[in-house]
Amino acid sequence: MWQGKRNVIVWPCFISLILILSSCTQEPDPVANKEPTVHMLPVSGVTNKELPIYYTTIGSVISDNRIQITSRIAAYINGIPVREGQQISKGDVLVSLDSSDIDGAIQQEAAAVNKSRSALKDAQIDLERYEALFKEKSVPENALRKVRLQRDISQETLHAAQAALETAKSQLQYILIKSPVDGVVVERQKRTGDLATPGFPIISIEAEKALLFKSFVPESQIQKLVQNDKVTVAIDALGKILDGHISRIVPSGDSVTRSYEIKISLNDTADLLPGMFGRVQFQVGTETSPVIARTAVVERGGLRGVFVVDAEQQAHFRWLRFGREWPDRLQVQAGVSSGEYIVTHSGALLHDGDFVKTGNRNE
Amino acid sequence: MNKPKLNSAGRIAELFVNSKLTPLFILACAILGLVAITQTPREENPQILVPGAEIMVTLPGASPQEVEQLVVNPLEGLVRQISGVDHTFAIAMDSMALIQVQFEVGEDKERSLVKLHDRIQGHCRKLPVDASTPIIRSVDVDDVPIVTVTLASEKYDDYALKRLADRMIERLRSMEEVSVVYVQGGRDRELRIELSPERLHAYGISGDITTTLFQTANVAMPVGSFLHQEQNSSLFVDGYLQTAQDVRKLVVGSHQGRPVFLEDVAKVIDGPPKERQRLSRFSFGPADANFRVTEDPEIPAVTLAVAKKPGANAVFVANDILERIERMQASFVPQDVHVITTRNDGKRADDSVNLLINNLGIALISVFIVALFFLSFKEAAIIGMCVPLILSITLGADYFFGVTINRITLFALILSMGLLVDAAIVVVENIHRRYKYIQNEDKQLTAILATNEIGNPTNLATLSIMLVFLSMIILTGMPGAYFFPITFNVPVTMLASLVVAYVVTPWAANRWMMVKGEQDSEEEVPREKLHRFYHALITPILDRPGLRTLFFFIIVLLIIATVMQAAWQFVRPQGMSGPLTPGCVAMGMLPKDDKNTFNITIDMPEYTPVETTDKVAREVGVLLHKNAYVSNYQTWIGEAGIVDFNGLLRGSGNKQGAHVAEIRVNLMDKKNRSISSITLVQELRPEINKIQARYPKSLIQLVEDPPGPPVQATVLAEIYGSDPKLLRKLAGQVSEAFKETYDMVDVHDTEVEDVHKFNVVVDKEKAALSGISTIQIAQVLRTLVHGADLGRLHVQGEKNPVPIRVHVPQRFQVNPENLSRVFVTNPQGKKIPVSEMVQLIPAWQDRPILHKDYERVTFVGGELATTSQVYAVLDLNRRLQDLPMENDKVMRTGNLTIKAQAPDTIDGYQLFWGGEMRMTLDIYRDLVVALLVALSFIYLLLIAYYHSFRIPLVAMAAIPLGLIGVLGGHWLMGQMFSGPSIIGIIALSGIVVRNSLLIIDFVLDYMKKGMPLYEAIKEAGAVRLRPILLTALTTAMGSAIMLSDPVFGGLAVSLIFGTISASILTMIVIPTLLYLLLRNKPIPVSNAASGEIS
Repeated sequence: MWQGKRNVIVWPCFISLILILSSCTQEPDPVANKEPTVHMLPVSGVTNKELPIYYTTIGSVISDNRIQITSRIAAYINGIPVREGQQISKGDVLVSLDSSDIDGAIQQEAAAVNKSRSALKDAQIDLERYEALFKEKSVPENALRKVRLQRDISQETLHAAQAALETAKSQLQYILIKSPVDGVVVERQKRTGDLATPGFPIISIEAEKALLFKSFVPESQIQKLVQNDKVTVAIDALGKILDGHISRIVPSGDSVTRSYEIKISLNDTADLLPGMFGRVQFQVGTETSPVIARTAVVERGGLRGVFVVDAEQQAHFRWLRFGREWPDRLQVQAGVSSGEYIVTHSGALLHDGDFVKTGNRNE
Repeated sequence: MNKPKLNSAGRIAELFVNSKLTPLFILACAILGLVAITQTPREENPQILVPGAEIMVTLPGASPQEVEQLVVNPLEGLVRQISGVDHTFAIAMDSMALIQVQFEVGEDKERSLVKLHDRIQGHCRKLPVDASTPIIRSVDVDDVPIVTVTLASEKYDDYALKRLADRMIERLRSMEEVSVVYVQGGRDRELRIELSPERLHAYGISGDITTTLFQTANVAMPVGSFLHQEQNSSLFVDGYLQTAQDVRKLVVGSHQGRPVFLEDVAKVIDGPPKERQRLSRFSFGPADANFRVTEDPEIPAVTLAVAKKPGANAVFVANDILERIERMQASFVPQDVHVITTRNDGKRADDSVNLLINNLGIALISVFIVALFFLSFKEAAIIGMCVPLILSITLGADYFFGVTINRITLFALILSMGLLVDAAIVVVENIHRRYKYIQNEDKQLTAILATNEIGNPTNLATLSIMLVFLSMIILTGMPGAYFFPITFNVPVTMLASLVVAYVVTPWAANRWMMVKGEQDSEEEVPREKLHRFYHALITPILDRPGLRTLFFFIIVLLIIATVMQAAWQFVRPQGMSGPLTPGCVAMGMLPKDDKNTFNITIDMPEYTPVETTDKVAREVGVLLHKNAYVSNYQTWIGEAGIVDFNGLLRGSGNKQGAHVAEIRVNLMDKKNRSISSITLVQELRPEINKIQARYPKSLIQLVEDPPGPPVQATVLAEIYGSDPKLLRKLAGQVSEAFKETYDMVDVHDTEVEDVHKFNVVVDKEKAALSGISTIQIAQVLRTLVHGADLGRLHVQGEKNPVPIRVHVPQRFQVNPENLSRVFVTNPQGKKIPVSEMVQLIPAWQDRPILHKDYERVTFVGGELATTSQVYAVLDLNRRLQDLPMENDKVMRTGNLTIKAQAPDTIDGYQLFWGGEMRMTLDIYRDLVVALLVALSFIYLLLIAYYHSFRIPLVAMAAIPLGLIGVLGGHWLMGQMFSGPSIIGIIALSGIVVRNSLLIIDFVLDYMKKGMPLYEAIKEAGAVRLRPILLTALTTAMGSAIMLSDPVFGGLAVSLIFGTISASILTMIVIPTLLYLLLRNKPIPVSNAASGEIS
């Protein structure tokens, strides 16, 4: 009966074969879970801030008081002792002109005065003699009258010559042109040796005190602006933001560029120099969006974002889209919303999935 | 012993029984098998050839309606003229039209594309003049990468990784069988000009000046040659921009008599882009040894993707690629870069093929063991030897006919395992029987005669099984291509089994089998037991009509009961939707498979910034990090990941935009996993849904690779109609209905969210007064808002072009509100703010218009978590049938017909059920037709054989008996009744018919020998009981290994339980029926027995 025996061998073999095959699957090894790091880091809530929407235009600082210095006389320029940008006070010599023409005229006039004076002296003596002779009735009254006339003419001639001399002398004051105001030299149009002629400026000076900011605003925005509106002007060169107000809106627009000139008075003009480039911001509305501190921003895998702490105090990196940026804070356009908590000083050691412990959750 | 006239089987046996050719034949088969198994290309699933193409046409500034009327409609009309086009899908978008053409499965790729090109090129004059030339791109399955390797690093950013990857792919391109090679992810070097609108304004430089500037400045060309000292020299103008410094020093204009350099108005930066719209990250999961090796869980990554040429062996190509990458890693990849193979279809194919080959081995052993029970060791060994030979011949046929070795091929082999041994068993068993009784006849002749004896019925039975499987050729479309290996392999195997049974078996039997003679009575005992048992069983039924009626009544009742197991769900009072009633069997197409990977796609509303999408993806990442089975995952933000076959056909592979993301999750190998990916996804889904709930209008889908051909969505409603507004409303209603459906998840529709837009309307008069044209405004705005590519930097040694790109950084972002900061310069040199010449009109972005097969359409899709889609669709269909709409119209539902319907919107709106439902209907239809065709063939064959109309009917009466086991088995194993189950039934019908044939044949034979009908039936049944049980058991054992497979479990269940139940019941039902049929009739003389000797 070897078939019976075969059964005894075959069946256990078959069953064990099935068992071996079915036991091929095994559970995964429990992963050695490295304990996530716990950090003590400051955390704060993200809040929405009301941010003003600005309309920005550019412009430059101008002086309200710009003087162009022109010679009254036509003369060669002897020297210009000031340079562009030089601070000057009232009375400082700006330009000296060649005085030789005037000197000659003065000598000429002085000679004329002397000549007239001598003529007068002679006429006076003549008159005194004729008066003595008339008393002796040795000359007719007619002759005396003539001599007196002669003396009066000489006298007036002398006065005229004297006046001419004074005139000639007064030309001298135009030789040295002096500053009429305190200010700064902004431009030199002529050089030493040039001929200064009346009507053509030699140098320009600007009075420091009345600095204005001039800009152009498109007509679509002009309706939103009213005189005396408070505005801020950012001056790039100074890195400062200055307060001011709209002082004038020039009521005549450019038909091509469709813009209007506006002038802004600035409250603080220290260090400000005319011609400086700046942007003026007019607030035209507000928007609400989250703003976060710059210190919270980290870069991971080439992306800028922050670590958001979830309800289990676990930190997760979040990629953010930033909008406007300020030196200390940034506007967030997408990625994080109000009410979430972010790590404000992450440092390089914080990683995704780490735990963040903090005592204070400040809003 | 005189030699009778031999039939074909006998003649073959005679030829080979003592021939020297036989061992050579065996050797040749073995070598063929070895060559075939190593050299035939391996795949996981059969490659389905679906030629497809995409036509893109731009029509700048046109609205979707315009694009639809002027571009989409004419083109679609043209495309539909081409024969072999299955479907067209079109999208009319703002300024652009995209038409996807899907050819019928199996159409020749090149010929289809040539036809398409020809048709479009010949008629593109019909398009508007301002439309671009249509760009036709083939959508090619062969371009789907088979290997992806991800480079990830904590130390290097994706810019550095991309440069590294660019160097690596160069070394892969030289490989012979590699086709498409590319790097996805990472950033390329660019020269970025970050304009500051305010500085431009301050210097009075218009925003568009840079475009013309670069066109005129970045120039180099040869300008001729001249003679210099009797030698020709050439003259060359070298004006190329080569460094960032060159660009910085470009003069863009003048301001107060002073030149303005580009660096005065912009920052010029050489490097990777800073403001990103797409990125990729990689992370190790808990199942990987590298888990938590990195400080940050998700690290920047780029991926190399390599596709193979068609016909190349994926396994070899993948190994070669990885070997090269390994060597590159050793030679020039830095230490801190992780090189991870994230997709290896070669290994996947190899694994599943090897697993199945193992299974095949196990099946072989099982068959051998079963044979051992019934036959002696030597006989079992002969059978055991035949099987590999048959398989070798089949694999050789695969090799020569270009059928790859894939899962389906091997399933076909496993499936035929139970069938192919039958011929050998029958021959061996008969030789065994004859040998037992011979005393001094010629051993060789006996073997030939034994073979000859069973030749005709075996031929008939094998032929019927071949016919059955050949009838599956009528399966159409993707399922046809998918199941083709079965259609091909089973008949080939059956033929081979016949040949081997007639060639090798008699030869081996003659050589090795002992002539036992009468004295060996050991084998008689169990046979006598079986004999007596069968007699005890059959006699009462034959004798007592009452019992017989009761018996038939029970059988019919059982058949009805099992049919109800499948049908109850459709007719039960509480409706089709809902959990399965206990005791019932679900019906569907293909169950899901346990995979090592799945995909998570994230679709946010269209207006979502990329940062928010990233946030959602990271939240999903945290979830994945907690899952112990995840070995790694790669996140793609702003674009879809590396396309796979599923993505290609679903159309999700080319999605891009800030609102999309994809996470490809790789799991630990299923061999080491205790839970399937299906369960894993099911467990993950509620967690994912929680995330999804936090982001309104978002959609996070867990996409599992489908077990069979991919579809756009499991449950897909195609709503056709003319009014987009109404379609949108309907889509909303249908979506709601979807969401109320039991087990429905991932409900989505193709209706996009409304996105805000501002129309910049140029006041032509104002602009003209200022001397500005509309194009100037458009150009300035485009440069400042979108940015522009101005050319490229001419750098030596760069792998990719270095574009010169101008844009305005986000912190200076130009909004519609601050257009007054944007200036255009007029010919007089005056700067005019754009805001003064335009009007801003807020509006909504135009919605794209979708077309399918020339009709406007919108899609609503959903997936089912656990159950079959059939019930969901039928339930939805009931609820959505005649959905009332405005103006007393109704929306009609359709396409639940046997043949696919074409949309027709002449009288209202239509909802067609597409997706898997359509495919299920097609498959069921084709399979049922196949079954009917097969049965008709068998019937005709049997009529020819028996010269009777009734006896074949008796033989085929066994088929319904199989059903009892099939549905009962599904219920017992908790399996879904699916497409493979039907294939199982088809196979089963062949097997049971063969069994009944053999009984009938023996009955007729005995009757011819003079035995009365009653005795003949009892005797034939008793004699056939053993071989029938033997073949049934081998079939069952051979298929048992498939039971655990999710896809082919249904087939296995059908075969195993069907065969067992059918075999047992056949033994009683067929003799009884035959008895009833023949008892009042004269004995028919069958030619089946005519060739036999007495």
